Amino acid sequence: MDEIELAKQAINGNEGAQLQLINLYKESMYRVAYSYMRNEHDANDALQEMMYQCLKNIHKVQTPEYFKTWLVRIVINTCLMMKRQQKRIIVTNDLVEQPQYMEELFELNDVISQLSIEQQELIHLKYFKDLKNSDIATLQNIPEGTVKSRLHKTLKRLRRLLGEGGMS
Amino acid sequence: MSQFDEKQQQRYMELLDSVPMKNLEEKAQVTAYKRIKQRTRQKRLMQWSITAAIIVIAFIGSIRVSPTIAHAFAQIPVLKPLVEMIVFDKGIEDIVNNEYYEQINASQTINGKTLTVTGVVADESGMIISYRLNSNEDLANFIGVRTELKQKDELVQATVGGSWTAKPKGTYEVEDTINVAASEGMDYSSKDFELILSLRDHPETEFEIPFTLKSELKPSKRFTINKEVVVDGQRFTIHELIISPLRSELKMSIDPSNTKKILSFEDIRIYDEQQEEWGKIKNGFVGFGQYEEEQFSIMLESNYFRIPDSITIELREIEAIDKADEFIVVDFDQKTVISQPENIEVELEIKDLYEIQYKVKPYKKNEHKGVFNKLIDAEGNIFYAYSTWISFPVYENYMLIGQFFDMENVEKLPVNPVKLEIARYEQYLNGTGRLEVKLN
Repeated sequence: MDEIELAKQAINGNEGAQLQLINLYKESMYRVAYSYMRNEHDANDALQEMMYQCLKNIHKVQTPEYFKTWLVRIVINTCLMMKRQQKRIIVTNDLVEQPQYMEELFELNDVISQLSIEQQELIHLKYFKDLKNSDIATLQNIPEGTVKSRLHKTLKRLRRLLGEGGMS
Repeated sequence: MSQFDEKQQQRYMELLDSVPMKNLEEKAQVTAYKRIKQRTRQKRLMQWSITAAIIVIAFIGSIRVSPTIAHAFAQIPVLKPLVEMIVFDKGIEDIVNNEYYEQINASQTINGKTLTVTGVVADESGMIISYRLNSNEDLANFIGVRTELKQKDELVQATVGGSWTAKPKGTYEVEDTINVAASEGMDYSSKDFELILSLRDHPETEFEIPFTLKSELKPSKRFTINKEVVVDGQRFTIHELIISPLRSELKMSIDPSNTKKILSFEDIRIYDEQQEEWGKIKNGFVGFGQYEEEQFSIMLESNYFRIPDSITIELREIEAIDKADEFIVVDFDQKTVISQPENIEVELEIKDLYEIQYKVKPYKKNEHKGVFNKLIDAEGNIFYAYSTWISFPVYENYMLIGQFFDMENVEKLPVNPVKLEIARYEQYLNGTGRLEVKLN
């Protein structure tokens, strides 16, 4: 079953398809949430809210092809909304320590956050599109090659980033 | 505006890929799904009523029942919650005095908690169900109940609501009522009902108590009026007064050719021939329908057991603005107000993400009202405000109010310019509308 077909069934109210679909995007949603929220706790909160909004409103999506755009909109809006609420409620020093190599991600996110919502959506839509193949592979239980290469890539990047962190 | 080039995009995506995943909440989708399931139950509860009903909570009651009488009645277990309601609804006093209620006493025990349906007051307009809940846990820690009413295994087409106030510590028994309001009238072709009540804190504890009504129901008394009232040049028609033991319903309409747009009827009263107040807008549930509709209903207290020969209906404090003042036009991209009627004194600021913030003069009752409830974009699409906040403390000269419009679930964002429709504004018609009606 491809993604469009899955989205079609999910929109039509197939609960299994809905859960499968949000599972498919779960990691990407979490990663983007982390980029905006900057700690794991808030990223998880945002993720849960995104999933809730997604399940609640999925029937409103008119065409399955539009699903991903719609999802990205929920992802971005939820993050921005939660950040805004945070600003109102608490002003504390964030004491939770985050991996140092994530600083660069947050810096880039600072730049992105200054763009219009449409532009923010566009950037993340690209990310969601890029992820498609590997995630679909995971869904279809043929993940080995993909997972391996991703792991390798990540490890390599991690070493490089840690090296950079040590220099500063 | 900052640029975000290809290289940065590439780097950003790489970094996203290396976000640590070890603390990703594995069960996030399960939690979200549980929330959906709970919500669906609530939605089912309101599924029908939401299409037509406007529920407004208003507290205009004063204590009118003599404490001695109240105390005496409160000794009868069925009546205690009813007597408490008299404080807010004079009609209930008549019901109690005329013994128009039915004792039920059906109960069920689940997980150490017992729910007893003690009594029911039923009429064509709805029901008041009184209950007692005995708990093995301190009710002070509970946040409320969910209620449903079934008849022939189907949900009754009505708004069913149970109120819940915070209980003091050490409360293990409560008595309260559930209010059932049916805009199209109740169906009593079967007098077997089933009350379903669950505790918000313990959704698994769901009581299902069947009960049967045996007493004869008093039929509603309908009085056709069809007369026009003019207030400040604005025309209103009062079509019908329907009096049932629980509530009176005033069916009205607004002349579409009026120059003003009516925002709210804040105070409607009915006097008897001795000029004594006979009924006024009920607390809590105040009406069905919307003012734009051909006919809408406003709920008043009932005095079913004392129908006077003639009554005077008074329309006071009608909140209204000129039809020309209906909209403030803004642009969310430019964050500017394009046009604003002179008469509407709202200091409006357009924020990011379809948020607006504004200062308005404090309302005389210091009530919290959002001025807007929807926006209409250049293509005629409607978007509703989904959350409103009000600054605390309320400043001396103004209230600061913020409203968000729901853009998370839309396929297309609003096209500018956008019209913000004024829903509440502290401006009233001059004068009071009066209409005398012979009932007998």
